[in-house]
Amino acid sequence: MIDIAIAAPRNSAPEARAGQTEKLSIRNLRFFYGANQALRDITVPLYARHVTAFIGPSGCGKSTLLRVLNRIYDLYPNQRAEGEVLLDGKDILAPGLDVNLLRARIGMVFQKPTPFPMSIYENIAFGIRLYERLPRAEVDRRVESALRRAVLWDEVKDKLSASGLSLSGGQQQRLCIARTLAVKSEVILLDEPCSALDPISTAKIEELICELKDDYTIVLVTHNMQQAARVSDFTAFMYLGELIEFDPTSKMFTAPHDRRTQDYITGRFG
Amino acid sequence: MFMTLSLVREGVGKALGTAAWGSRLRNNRWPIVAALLIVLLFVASGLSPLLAVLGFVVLVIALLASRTAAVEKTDWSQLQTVIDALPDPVVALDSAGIIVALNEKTRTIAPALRAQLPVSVALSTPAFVEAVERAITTGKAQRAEFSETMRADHCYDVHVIPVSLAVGPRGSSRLLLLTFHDLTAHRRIEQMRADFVANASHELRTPLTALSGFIDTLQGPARNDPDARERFLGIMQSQARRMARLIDDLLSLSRIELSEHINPDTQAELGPVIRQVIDMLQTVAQERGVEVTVAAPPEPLFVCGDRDELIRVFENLVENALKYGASGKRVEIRLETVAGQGTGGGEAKISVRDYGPGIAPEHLPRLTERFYRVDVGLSRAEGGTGLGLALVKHIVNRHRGRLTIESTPGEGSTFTVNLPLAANQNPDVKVLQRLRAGDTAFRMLTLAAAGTVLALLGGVIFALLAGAMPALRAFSWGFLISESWNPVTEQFGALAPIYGTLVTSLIAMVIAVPIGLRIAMFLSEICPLWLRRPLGIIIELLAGIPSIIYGIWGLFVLTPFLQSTVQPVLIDAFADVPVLANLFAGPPYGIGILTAALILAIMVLPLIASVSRDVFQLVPPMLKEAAYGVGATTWEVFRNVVVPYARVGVIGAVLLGLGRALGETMAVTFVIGNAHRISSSLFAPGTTISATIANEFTEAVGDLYTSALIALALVLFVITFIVLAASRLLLLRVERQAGH
Amino acid sequence: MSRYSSRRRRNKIAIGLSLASMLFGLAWLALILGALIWQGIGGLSLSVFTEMTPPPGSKGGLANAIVGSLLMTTLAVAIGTPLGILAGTYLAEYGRYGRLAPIVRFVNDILLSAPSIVIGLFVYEIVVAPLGHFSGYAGALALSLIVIPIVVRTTEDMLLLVPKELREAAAALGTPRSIVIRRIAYRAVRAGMLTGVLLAIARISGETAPLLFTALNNQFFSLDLNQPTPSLPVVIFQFALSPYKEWQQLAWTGALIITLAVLALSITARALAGARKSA
Repeated sequence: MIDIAIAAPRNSAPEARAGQTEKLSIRNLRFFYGANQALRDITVPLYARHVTAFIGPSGCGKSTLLRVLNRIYDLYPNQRAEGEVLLDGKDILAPGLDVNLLRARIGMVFQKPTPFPMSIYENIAFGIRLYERLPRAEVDRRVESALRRAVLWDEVKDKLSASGLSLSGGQQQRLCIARTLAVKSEVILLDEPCSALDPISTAKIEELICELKDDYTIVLVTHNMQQAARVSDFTAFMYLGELIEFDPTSKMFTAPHDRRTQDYITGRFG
Repeated sequence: MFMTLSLVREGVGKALGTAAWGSRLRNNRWPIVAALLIVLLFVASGLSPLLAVLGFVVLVIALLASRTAAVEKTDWSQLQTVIDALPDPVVALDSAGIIVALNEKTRTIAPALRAQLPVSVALSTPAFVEAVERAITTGKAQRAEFSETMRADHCYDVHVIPVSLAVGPRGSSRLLLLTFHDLTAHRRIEQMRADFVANASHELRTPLTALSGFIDTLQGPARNDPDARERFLGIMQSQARRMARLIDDLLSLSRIELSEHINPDTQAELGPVIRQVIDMLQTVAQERGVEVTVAAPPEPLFVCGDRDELIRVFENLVENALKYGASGKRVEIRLETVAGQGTGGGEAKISVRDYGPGIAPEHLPRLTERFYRVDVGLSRAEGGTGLGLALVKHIVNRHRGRLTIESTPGEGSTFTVNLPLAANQNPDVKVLQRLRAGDTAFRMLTLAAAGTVLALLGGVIFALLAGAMPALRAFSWGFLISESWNPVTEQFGALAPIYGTLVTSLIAMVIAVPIGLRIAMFLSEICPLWLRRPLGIIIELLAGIPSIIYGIWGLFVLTPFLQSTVQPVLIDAFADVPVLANLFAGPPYGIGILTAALILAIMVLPLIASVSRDVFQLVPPMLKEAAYGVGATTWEVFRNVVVPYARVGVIGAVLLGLGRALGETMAVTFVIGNAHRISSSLFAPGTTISATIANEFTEAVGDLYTSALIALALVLFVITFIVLAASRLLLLRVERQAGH
Repeated sequence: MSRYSSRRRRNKIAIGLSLASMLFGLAWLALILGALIWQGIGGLSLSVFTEMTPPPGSKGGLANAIVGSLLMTTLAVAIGTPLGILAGTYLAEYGRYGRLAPIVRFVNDILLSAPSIVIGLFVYEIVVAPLGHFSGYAGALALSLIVIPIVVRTTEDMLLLVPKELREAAAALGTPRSIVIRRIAYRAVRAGMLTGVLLAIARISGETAPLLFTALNNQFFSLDLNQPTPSLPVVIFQFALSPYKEWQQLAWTGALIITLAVLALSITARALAGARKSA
């Protein structure tokens, strides 16, 4: 009698299968700061419910790429993007698109923790109240669930009305993650989220990323290769604005097929 | 007396059979007393005593019976609280089968249940009723299974437990507690396990048998036959792959079935789903030379559902159409909205039509069965597992939709999926529009405000020009060079005020600039750090003192001092020196040009000092350290490094001070003397433009007089504009240099 | 060696001169404040705040002037602050990279330092002359035209200090621009903007020239701003230049009151700015 465990198949072998869906498809992306081209013809898939990490030496364009995904570069006049970025099949670089709605679906956490100048509760409630008018009890519930999800609830539940700035760096970063979770994003972009934090906070956040990837598509930019190796399912190596290699993480770090990738990983440059 | 009464009460209670009556009697003692009194009255009035007692008893019983419900109700509230807190549905019945308490969760099982109704009104399956009765009679806990009538796949494990609850101080009543434990998921898992084992063992056996056979052959007869080896290994590989695919599909199917009873809580847009499916199958379509077309309405269609599962559904349907209907060379996908059935909301209808050989009618009802294939050979050749449509069916079920299959042999087949549209199509649209409107409104407001600032300047210039027109037209350029100022003959010339303005300001600058710069040097280079901030604040406070204070101080303090002490000395001192004698000629009025210039100097001093200090602090410390490093003194660093670096800024600060001095009114008006003439002595009274206007405007009679004053104001504005514009541009350059 | 010692000497002279300049500046402050307190305190009593301005030769107070100043200042701030904040927001946010912004900034700086008597004449031309009478409203309007450039400058400077990461974090949540500004940026610079408003109030508290031709003056107490309205600076102006002893005394007292108010406001403003810096 075979006792078969009936559960969702775990991603033991993350090879690209027809069943694995692309949440975001970047196609022939070019990016310009004024006349200066920062990204050259990037084509890379970002799979749903997986963590994709971008590594590369500084200036290679990985943060620039990340900032295209939620069109945050729109805030600045001299920056423009060409090409296609498809979110669930729809091109997000199209001119008529509502950028605010896009950003509610694709959340971003920055290198430097940026709590708003409000209480912890208000920090989370702010995003919730933007698009929905909910009764207080419902907002309370959503705030609590977001803070729980970000593994911050136990540490702040007694001081929800304290200022967001009174938390430690690692807690502030988790607060920023909770903020993104509260608006029900589908994709979370992380731009070197741990580079301003101590090792213990870093470990907590990496744990959080591993938990979140069951429900969210996560794109991580990091200069810490070990972090990429620990946390991600797929890794992309970029250099001087080009995508050099894209592999499942295990393959990238054991048998990369490009010389430059190998050099970077072994520490020869960057 | 009272002892007897209570004994009597007890006796009555006991006689009536239940102890509960005792408390009831006690709770109703007042009506009883009243009845007693009435009876006594009757007796007193001569009626038959016997009848009276009878009447009393009847009255009491009636009263007490009517209070039954009230007493009983209150006793269940505690029970209700406990039941409400429990996670599973719980119902409490009394021994007659009437519900006395129930919690919210029972609403999902049987919404019709309510307190005081018999439980059989909603829960009446034989097994259940039997269990209840048995529990009542035997007093022992019973168990039964209960399935909902509406949703037959939901079944519950019901425990019927008799309990005895204390209801009042002397009474207790027998209750039945019914707890419902949801077995649905449990059952499902068991069922699926059985199914899976049955299906998997059958389906896997076939390729395994083939594999085993080939392995035998390779080990035996074909051992040394390389061609056969190649061929057989290829077949074995494809069999192995087939088994892998089979297992994947089975696992997917199981997963879907497990969650089939859970409603999806996300939304998905159908258009992109279909587009993605087409993208995924593009190569397959190209290989077979099949053209895929999509017809969809322009507006986005949202359904409640999981995007990945919906992609799976349409991937399967379209792939089937491509594989089995390839001969038709065409596959059409159509999306449309139709009216919904039953629940009221609309539905999205997605149909996939191919023009292939079609499916014979006898196969149609069985197509979605697991492992059912119309043509086994063809399916195997295409690499099918026989589970695709089963998967589709279960996913569609989960999404509360319908799958319809129509086919005509020879003409092709149409697979149609109906899915309920999401309740609020796009809740964000309205909010979005409101937010966007607010955004634009705010932006327009700020733009308007900025425009107002621009308009102000324009307005000032325009108003001044308009007001000055008459005078300008009357006097033309002569206005600027005429010294006469006679309201009576209406001859006005601006020369005296202009001269006064320029001279006082210039002298003020001559005094204030060096001192101000040295104060700035002190504050930025020499002052000990702890003193820097307080002193800087004091200087800024000095700059903030209103000019009228300077004026009144100048008039009452400085002027007498100058008049009595300084001016006579200077007059005598320079009396014989050729040029200076005229410059410092008497009489010592105290007021006059020099006094005004002094006051202006004191006023402008802090301004120059603080702006220069800010400019000096912008010098990069590295530069200064480098100079100190080669042994320069403080003064040398200041003179040779700081000042040249900050030269532009210093000029800007000086011009700022000049602009302030030129426009100053109140400080000057008090002490200038208001004489419309130009004299060579600095001690003589004179006037400035602003002093003239301040003193004379309210008394000006006649349009030309007023206009002349406004013309003066225009001249002043032009002068200060030039100075301030120059200052601003220079300071801008400094800021840009510092890297703003 | 002598070269070195002459350099040292020059250095010492320079330092000495700059120290002397500092003391010079401080001395004037001391003299002015001293005279103010000396002369003004004598007349400072409760009656100053409760009695009206007297006719020449009799005793009285400054109540109506103080009230008039307060009214017009409040109105001026109420008009000028929102307009100034909005314009400053435009310069720092929407227009930051545009071409209009530098022009507006330039014009704003001109207006900031423009002679206030010209502002007074401007309001006279557009309000008093057409309406035919002086009024407190015109005075408040003139004062507001002085408030606006100050608030614009402060708002812009403050908003430019908001770190771009904070803005991006709010935008990354999908917040529309106006809400990012209103609920995040404004909140972050609350203290700084308040400082700007306080400085503006301090500035207009002592302004006389713009009121001369707009609100004029009024001997009596009136809450009707449609009439000529008395104000402390104008009353000081009138009383100080008069030959009457009582009026002159009141002028000094009034001057003391204004100076104390201005100093208090400036110190509060700087304290707020200091608190912000340390936060």
